[in-house]
Amino acid sequence: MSTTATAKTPYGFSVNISRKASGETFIHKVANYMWLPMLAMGVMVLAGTFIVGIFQADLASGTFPGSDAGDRANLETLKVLQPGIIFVGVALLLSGISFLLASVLGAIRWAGGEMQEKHAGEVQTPRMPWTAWAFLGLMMMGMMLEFASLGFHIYAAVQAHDYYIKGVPPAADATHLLGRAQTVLAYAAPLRMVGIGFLLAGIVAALYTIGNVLRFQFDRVTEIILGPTAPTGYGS
Amino acid sequence: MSKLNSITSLSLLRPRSRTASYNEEVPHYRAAIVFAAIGIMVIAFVTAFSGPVAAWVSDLTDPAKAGVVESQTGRIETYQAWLFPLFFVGLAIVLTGISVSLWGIVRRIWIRAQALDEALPALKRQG
Repeated sequence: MSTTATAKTPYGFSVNISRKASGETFIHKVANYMWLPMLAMGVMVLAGTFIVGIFQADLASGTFPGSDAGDRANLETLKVLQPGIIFVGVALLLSGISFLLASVLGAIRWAGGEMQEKHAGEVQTPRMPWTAWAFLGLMMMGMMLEFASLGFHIYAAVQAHDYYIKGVPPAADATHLLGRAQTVLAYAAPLRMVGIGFLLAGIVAALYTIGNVLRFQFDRVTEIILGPTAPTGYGS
Repeated sequence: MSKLNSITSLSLLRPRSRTASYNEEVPHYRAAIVFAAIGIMVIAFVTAFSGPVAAWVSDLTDPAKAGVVESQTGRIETYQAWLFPLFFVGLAIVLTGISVSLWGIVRRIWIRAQALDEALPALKRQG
């Protein structure tokens, strides 16, 4: 993109002005390619967790009342791991949705740029607003928290396994292992909810950005049709 | 443009050729509603099953039924092991519906751009 100037439109948008359409940015390119793998991974993770859940149910039905320590340890390990993996699956799905929202923004920018280049002579491209940066930051933060939470779940699962493998009932001197698992899980549970909260907040920021960009596009189209003297504010 | 000629995440978003009829419905929106309906049915199924599980949990806290605790615990663990992930499978289907609907919106933006590209010269003459 050859930017010739920056300006503020009558309706309050800071825009880059150029002769050629700016096309897609790196973020839009990533979003266009990543939305489908993210969604597919999310669905596969959740479907996989359900299948493992059936095996876990079978294990649970044979474990109570009383059974060997190995079965009980495996059951408790799966019980601890299950929510951590499930929330990573949900986070992957929400990331797929976030990438699709970024693709919506990319399509508006790309198609709008091509249209302006052909019909208006100059291309006005809104500068990336703070809400778009917030969207990216919140999404990345949400994903990182979900994976951190999964790490806590894995650690707690190892501790739970070590506790229950020590016999039926488990040895009294191993209680600290169970305590450690419970403590780590007490941190992990709210952490995974915070992660989902960040991802959803990112989606809100993306929708807000889409609303603003659409407002810009409507006004720009009106300006192209009626000329620069056209009354503004149609899109507000 | 060659990336648009093979099936990629990008070519699924942007129509490969000019659309014959701009008002033609994209199938995504109907598919999204079907996904949402299936997801809600799965979640309703989980909710229906949660009733008996809740009753068994309440038995555990009833001193009069102390004898059934051990077997009841097993039954609760068995049901919860598959009910909990099944709820999220239902949620995943609903979220897939949202995604399919957004996918349709991206395609619709490209189709609108094509329509505007054709209509703008005439509109400018009239304007």
